[in-house]
Amino acid sequence: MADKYLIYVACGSAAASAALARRRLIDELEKRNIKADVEVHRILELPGAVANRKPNVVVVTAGQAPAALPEEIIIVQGIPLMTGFGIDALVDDMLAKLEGK
Amino acid sequence: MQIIQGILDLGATIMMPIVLFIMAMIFGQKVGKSLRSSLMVGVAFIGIFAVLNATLGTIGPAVQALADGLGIDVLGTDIGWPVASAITWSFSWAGLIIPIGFVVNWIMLGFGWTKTFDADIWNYWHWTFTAAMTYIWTDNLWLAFALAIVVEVITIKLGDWTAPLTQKYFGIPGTSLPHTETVNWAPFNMAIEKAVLSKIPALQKSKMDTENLREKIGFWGEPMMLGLYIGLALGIFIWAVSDYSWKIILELGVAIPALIFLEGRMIGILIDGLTPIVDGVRDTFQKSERFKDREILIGIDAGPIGLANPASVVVGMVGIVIYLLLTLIIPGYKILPLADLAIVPIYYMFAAAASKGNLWKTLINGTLSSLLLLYLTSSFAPQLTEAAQLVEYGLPAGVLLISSIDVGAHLLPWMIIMPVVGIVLGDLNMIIVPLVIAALWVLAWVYARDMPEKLAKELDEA
Repeated sequence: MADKYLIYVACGSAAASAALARRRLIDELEKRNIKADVEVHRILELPGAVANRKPNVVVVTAGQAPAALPEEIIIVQGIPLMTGFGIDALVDDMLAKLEGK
Repeated sequence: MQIIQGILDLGATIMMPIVLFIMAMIFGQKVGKSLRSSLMVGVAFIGIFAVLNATLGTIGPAVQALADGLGIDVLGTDIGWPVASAITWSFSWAGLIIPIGFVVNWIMLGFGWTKTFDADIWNYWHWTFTAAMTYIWTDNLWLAFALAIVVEVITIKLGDWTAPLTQKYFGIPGTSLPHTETVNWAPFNMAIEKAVLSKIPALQKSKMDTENLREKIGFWGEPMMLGLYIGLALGIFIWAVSDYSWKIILELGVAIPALIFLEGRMIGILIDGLTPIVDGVRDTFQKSERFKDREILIGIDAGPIGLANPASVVVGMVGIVIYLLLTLIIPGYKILPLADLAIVPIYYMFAAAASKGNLWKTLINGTLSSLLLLYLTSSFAPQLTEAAQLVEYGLPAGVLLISSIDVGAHLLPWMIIMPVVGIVLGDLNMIIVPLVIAALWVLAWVYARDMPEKLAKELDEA
């Protein structure tokens, strides 16, 4: 397990709902004492952001899968961060995948 | 009472944090966190208006100079949806829409009138906007709330209706999009697809690799970069037709990106602050046993979904140019699209869904509905400008008229507000056009009612 994870939330607009998704993810991670930097990126610029600095996880909140990313990056479906329902399960799933590495 | 009135008179930056703090308490959130979040909302409000003040003083007069140069009477500025929504939330009673909207949704769910639980509390501002416009015209708060509720109920029904398609096409299972300014175009977009576009053989094939195009747009299509191109192009136009010096080109080349980018950041801060309320409402819902065994769709924000959809993004980039040209060519469009050009893709998203991502059809269908959208942008402008002044937010000198494309996308509120207000004010001219459009809209919905299901099935089979 790494000391601190880098998590990208990939969203359509990086405005209103992205801020909400980010805040919810941070709150849930804090509850579990997990250290992570959570950054929001527009899905269109995701390949660039990933090439620049590789995250451990990409959480996609915009529905559609992002463009091809390096295989070692874990991709998580982030709709629960939009709806507010099922965030627990999402973080469980994400952590299981991270620890499986 | 005097103290309450005193606080309300202080304006949004002080009043909203207090109202939100009380609401967060009612919904059972922690004191410290609620205090911090509420304060953040006040900070965001100051930020939003500061951004507007810092940029509109350059942009507004330049836009009017363009109008003078072209011989157009008045040309107002598109200030962008973040400011429009902030103005809307600035009314002292605006916060009440959150509990009212929630209760109305709850009642609809209870009676089985909808499957949608609208968790997208932020976008309750569409209903607040309905109330604000009604209030500006009539001074009647009860009527304002009544119309807001009517718009909410219909918007939620639109979310139900389109959900089979939006879940499949946009890849968002378990959700619906009760998002007024996008979903209210669905009846027209679906009907145009069903009646016309699906019957033109040449249009059925057009296959293009949108995923690839979307990637290419990537960096260069970032909102701030779009602002640069728009600013430079506009600056060149203004330099050519007015007595502004060439410097205006560079000034707008920075001012417009600043407006777009900074507004987006400020909204991020605002949402960060609203989260405890939003999650409090959600928790209240989650704790309720009543809806446990029912199929519930969670209503989410359509904005980021449309801005991630390849067909909407690719066509939306063309749409930016179309919007600008239409405004300058067609008389009667009084607002120059600017700040909201960055989100034009969302006004093409239901055209994209109706055609399952066919680019030509998306372009034709979405542009047809945009003709009306731009008209509405002008139609709402005087009242939005008045609202901005009423909430004691001073407009910079030389700015006569403001609106936003996103405000113009509020077709459903417009169709409901205009006739009712027209009757109240006894102004027949206000009534006729909206009623005709509304009749067409209802017909379109009835005619195309089978479309979302049918398209979803086709997507399954593909």
